[in-house]
Amino acid sequence: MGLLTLQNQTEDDDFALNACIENARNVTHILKAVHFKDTATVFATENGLKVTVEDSKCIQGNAFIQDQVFQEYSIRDEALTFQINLDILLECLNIFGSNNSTTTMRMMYNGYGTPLVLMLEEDGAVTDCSIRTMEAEETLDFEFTAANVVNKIIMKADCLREAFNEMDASSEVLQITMSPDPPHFRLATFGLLGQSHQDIPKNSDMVEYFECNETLTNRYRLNLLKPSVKAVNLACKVCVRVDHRGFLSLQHMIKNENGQICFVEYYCCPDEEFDEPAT
Amino acid sequence: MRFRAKVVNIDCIHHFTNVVNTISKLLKKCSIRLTKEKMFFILPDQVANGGVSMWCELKQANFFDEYRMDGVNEYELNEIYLEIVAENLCRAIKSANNAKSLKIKLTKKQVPCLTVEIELPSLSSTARIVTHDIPVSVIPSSLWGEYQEPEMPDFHVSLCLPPLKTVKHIVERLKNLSSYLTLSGNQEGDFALKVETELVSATTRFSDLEIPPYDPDGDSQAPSKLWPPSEMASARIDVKKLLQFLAGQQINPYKVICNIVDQSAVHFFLVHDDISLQYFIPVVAV
Amino acid sequence: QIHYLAGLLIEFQNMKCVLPGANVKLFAKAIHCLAKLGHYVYFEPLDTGLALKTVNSSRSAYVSILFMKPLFQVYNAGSDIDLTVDDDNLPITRCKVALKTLLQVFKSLANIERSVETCDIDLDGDECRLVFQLKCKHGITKTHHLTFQECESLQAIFAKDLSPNVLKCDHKVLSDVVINFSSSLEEITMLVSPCKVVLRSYSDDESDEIAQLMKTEVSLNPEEFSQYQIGVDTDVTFCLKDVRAILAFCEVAAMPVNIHFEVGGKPIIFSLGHNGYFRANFVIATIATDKNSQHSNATANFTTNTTFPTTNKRSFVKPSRSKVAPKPLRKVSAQKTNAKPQPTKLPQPKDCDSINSEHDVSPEIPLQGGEQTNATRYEGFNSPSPKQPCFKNVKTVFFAATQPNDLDRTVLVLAPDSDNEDGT
Repeated sequence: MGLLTLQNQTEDDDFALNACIENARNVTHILKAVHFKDTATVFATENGLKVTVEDSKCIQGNAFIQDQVFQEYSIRDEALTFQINLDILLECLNIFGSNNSTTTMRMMYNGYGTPLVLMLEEDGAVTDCSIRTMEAEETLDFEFTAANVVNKIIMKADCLREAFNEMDASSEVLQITMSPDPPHFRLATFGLLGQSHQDIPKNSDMVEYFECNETLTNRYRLNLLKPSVKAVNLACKVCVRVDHRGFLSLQHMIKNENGQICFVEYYCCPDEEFDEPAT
Repeated sequence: MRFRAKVVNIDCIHHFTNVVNTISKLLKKCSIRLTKEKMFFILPDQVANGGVSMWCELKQANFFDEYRMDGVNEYELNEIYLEIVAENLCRAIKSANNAKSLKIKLTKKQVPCLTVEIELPSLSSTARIVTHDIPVSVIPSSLWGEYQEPEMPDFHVSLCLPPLKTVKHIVERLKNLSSYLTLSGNQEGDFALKVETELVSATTRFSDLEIPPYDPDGDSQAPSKLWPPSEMASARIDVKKLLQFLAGQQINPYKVICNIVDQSAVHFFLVHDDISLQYFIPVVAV
Repeated sequence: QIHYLAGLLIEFQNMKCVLPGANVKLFAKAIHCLAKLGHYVYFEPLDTGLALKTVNSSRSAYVSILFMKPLFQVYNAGSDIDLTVDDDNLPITRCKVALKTLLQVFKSLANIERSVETCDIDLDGDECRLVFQLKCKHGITKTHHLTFQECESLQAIFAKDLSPNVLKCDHKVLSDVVINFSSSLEEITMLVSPCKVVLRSYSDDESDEIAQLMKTEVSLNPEEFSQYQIGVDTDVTFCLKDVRAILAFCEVAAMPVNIHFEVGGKPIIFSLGHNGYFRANFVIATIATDKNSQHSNATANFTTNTTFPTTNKRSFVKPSRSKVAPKPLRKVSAQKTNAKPQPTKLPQPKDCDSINSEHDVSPEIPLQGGEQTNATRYEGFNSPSPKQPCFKNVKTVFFAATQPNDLDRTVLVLAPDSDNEDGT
């Protein structure tokens, strides 16, 4: 652990947010799972950080980095919110980025109008970054609640990853069927030259939990849903849930290098143009 | 004009391949100068026009088992200057990865060529022969003056870079933040890479870097005596040009010396037993 | 007889076959290889097995890969009814599918190797879909309903057994040779003689620009080949990219490759196979580079080093083109105003010099002449197709074309299935 971490501890008590982590990759990793747009909104509370990225008012990715992931975490106010360029934040976090040693990182923010300050250290070299922050805009509320969930499946991420990677990109939509009856879980695409679907039955050893109450088929814009593949690629398990309105929630369980579990959740609304699902 | 060289030692072939690969990553066209003792790869001085320049020399005896050359004439012009597409040479020599021998000779085909002839192991008793004819243009002696070793202006700071791999990774990240980078250092071993834009400023600092010893009898120059040792000399350069130099390295030098002429240019010097390579990057005004 | 056939059509059964997991990779690799050469794959279920065929858009490359019955767990070509009296390999039902689509099914070879247990291929005539169902580990199934077009049989006629020149070697020998050539090089020339094989970069133009390109040459000793039969000293020039695609496939098939050829202008055939299981033929057009026949004087300069045996002219039929014709075909040379040396793509008898060049588009294709007994070794061949754009240097047409502007409809059967025609 670099001196930097300890030295700054006393001076930085003044910051509105002050967090320190021995392995910056544990932050980078999770942020990559929602890195599908430049701009991210950061919410800091005493429980940790939530980083939200949205596109087209239809999809939202949320990365949760709980306070325990950091070796030090202090916040002066109840909650802090700001917007930041995620591209830049990730480049800075990854500045040393070698795989065989770890970067120690301290992150400081002093409230509205101030930059996010990062101090990184690896093998005696030090990087100071100061990234401009912007005022946070309101994020979408999908009003997705557990009480309204109709169907829920937890599966290993491998099979979903493969399905996403092989998906016919010429299809405008991804149609998801979840049902108590076969095929139980079906992902279907309708491309220029044909229709494809992948079925995962509930008795597959890829499926860890299966609770489907009724047959629901909904379509989602493939290009909007596609970014969630970044999260699937990092996840070990994924929980797929659909509520009565057809809203989709994908919860990705991601293990960091310290063996801690972090979550990245995507919400997506169904595509209204395709209300009538084809068979 | 005649030139013919041969290598049979596979390590020497690989070593030579690495040199050529490094050169081809740095520039498209390069000039080759051949003398009795040395082989040079040159990108003539363009620093004045905002371009980079390069000078690489190797002692032929360290690489070649046979080496024969006759220059334009036997006396004051006993040299050969050629211009070649570096990538062609690189591709040609790639064939020699597991060669039994590598021959390079100057030939007259439809156009003058540097012919690379490679003997490869085969399934039979006779070798497979791969021949690449690389067109070259012969540079007339009247133009040789343009290909002299660039003079190093008096630099203010000279220090040894941290491991190239580390620097390369950092510069790759910084390239995504800005097109220009300020490189600075002092004679006490402090060195920094900095970018600054409206959205972000990022500075990476290294300290306690080795200061290359000044050898008054050798090739190395002494830094300017008027510059205070703790004062940072800096140069704002094009990130892409720096990255090109860092990313293409295959020579594995044991030291990379960075000389900074404050607000003017950066000079890199790759130190290796068999090869020396110099690379100049001019500053870009703000 | 017409009535009889109509009745049969009603009882027509759809093709249905099942490939076991171990053979899916070879099948997938075949699709990847075909996709590098053509735009469509023709599915032709035969009695002996399932044939996948393609031809590229310039019709200079034709591939036929036959997966024979023993490779399948289930193989039903579609009907047991033998419509054929003369030809027991007559395809019963055929369709063609865009390779881009099919690649989607077999996208990741690694995934296929790891997880596919069986692959069902069904031709659903009612829905007009070719259905691929991959049954994978963990009970996962992946189903693809692909649109297809009905088509005639794609057939190139070649008789490789009659080739005077036959080489056989480990595919690795060729891969090791090809790797030395620039990836931007379009064509490669193979020169053969009883004492060696030389492969060298080919350029059809002696302009300054071309002269500045690097030229590569590799020579191989006969001992590197397990079969080395050179009946005619010759040189043949063909598309390098095609060869790379073929070799990539050979690597997966892990079989030695056979090369049959005659002289420039006649196709070269790469083939591999495993008796009773699998057979692949890649028929690639070559540029005719007869250096001895008529030529502009500039050409002489270019061609001095090669002499052609006189035997090679014999096998060509009279072409319907003039000797100045190749120019418009050449991307490079078409822009040049000065007379650069032009290798002819077809040896030209001296008696046909003055045919209107506007009608010449596929000059390297000798027309098939029915009476020409010598001309029937390699056929296929084509009527002139005046406005067809030509993008590549090498082109020989193996197929008769009636609508040259519409590649989809150009395939006319050279060995027509006359029974079928009668029946419809």
